[in-house]
Amino acid sequence: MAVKRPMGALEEEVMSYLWTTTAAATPAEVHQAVAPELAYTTILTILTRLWEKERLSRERSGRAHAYQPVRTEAEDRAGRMQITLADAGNRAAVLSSFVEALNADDVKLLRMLLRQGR
Amino acid sequence: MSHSLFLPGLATIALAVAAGHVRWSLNPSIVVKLLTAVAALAATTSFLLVGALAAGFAARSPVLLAVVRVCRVIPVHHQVGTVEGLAASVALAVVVFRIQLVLRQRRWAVEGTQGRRILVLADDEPIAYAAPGKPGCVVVSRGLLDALEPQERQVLFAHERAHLDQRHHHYLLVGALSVAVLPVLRPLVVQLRLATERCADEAAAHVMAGDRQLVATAITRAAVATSAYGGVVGSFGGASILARVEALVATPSTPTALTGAVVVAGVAGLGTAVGSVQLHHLLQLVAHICGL
Repeated sequence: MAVKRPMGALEEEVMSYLWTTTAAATPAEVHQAVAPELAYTTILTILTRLWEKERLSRERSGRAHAYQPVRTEAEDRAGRMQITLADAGNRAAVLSSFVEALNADDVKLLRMLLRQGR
Repeated sequence: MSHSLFLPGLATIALAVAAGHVRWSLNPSIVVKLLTAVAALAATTSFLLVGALAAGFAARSPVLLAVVRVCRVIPVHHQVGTVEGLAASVALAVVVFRIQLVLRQRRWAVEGTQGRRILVLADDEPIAYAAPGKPGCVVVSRGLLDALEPQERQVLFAHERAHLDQRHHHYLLVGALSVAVLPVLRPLVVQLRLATERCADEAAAHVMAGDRQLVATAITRAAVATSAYGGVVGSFGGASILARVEALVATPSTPTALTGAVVVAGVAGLGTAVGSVQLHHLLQLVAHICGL
C-alpha cells in the first residue's frame, strides 16, 4: 500500500494541542486552534474517534462536548509503546532492537530507571 | 511578451467571474463540469501569464538566468518591466503557497475515515459529509440520524454516497485550486458546490424511486436540526438549502442536451482560442527544452 501521508498526523496535532491546554476544549476551540483551514467536521470526527479510542474523555459543555486527554503525554506515548510490544510475536527481539537504536543518553537514563525502579 | 497576449486571458477570467454570478438552470451535472472547466481554464491561463511574466523578469538578471536557465525563449517580444515583473514574482509566490495549503487540507480531510464505508459519530451535533478515498466513507453523526425519519436516513446515505460515486471531490479540488490562483473565482466555486449538492439530491431522489418530495423534506429537516443546534452547516442540510428545495419541488427538468452541448461547445471554442494564442509560446518552450 502506498502511504502518501503520515497516518494519524492530525490526530497527533490535536492530542498535542489538548496536552498543552489545561482546560477541556470544545470542537470549535480545537478547530480554531489546530487547523482553522480544515473543515470543522473533520475536527469533530477526529475528536470523536479519539474519544472512542479512549485517548480523550469528554463532558457536556452547553450543547457540545468538551474534550481532554485521559492520560498525560508521557503516559499516552508509553501506553502506545506497550500496545506495539503486545502486538509483537517476539517481545525479546523487539525490545533488543529498540534498545540497540537508542542513543547513549537514553541508554544511560534507561539504566538509571531500571536500577531505581524495581 | 506582447500585451495582446493578455486579452484572451482576461476574456477567460471575465467569463469565469461572470459564470459565478449566473443562476444556472441547466442540468446540475452539466453545470458541475462546465463550471469546473471554466474555472480550470481561467486559473491555468492566469497561472501561465503570471509565470511567464515572472520568468521573463528573472531572465533580465544574468544571475537568475544562470540559475533558472530560461535563456532566450522567454523575452521574445519585449522586456518585462520592473514593476510588473516584481508584482508577478510576488503573485507567483503567493499562489504557490496557497496551492500548497489546498493540497494539505485535502490530505487531512479524510483522516480517521480510511478503509471504512460508513462512520457513525457518537455526537449530538448534526453533521454529515462524504470523505473521499478507497472506498470512500460516509460520515454521519448520531445527532443527525436521530433528527431524521428512517426513509430520510436512506436519503441522507444515498446523497452522501452520490458525492463519492460521482467523484465530486475531484471537481471541488479543481475549484479550490482555481480559487487559490484567482480569488475572484470564489463565487463560481460557491455555485459549483451548489451544483454538486443538486447532483447528489437528484441521485438520492433516483434511489428513492423518484420521490423528490421526500428528498426535499429530508434536507429541510437536516437544515432545521443543524440550525437549531447552532452548529456548523455541513453538506447535507447546508449549502443553499432554499435553492435545492425549490429545484426539487419544481417539475423535474429533462436534461436539455442541446443547451448543454451549446454551452460546452462555447467553452471548448474559447479554450481553443486561448490555447492557440499561447501555442506558439508553448512550442518555442518545448523546442528549447528539447534542445531543438
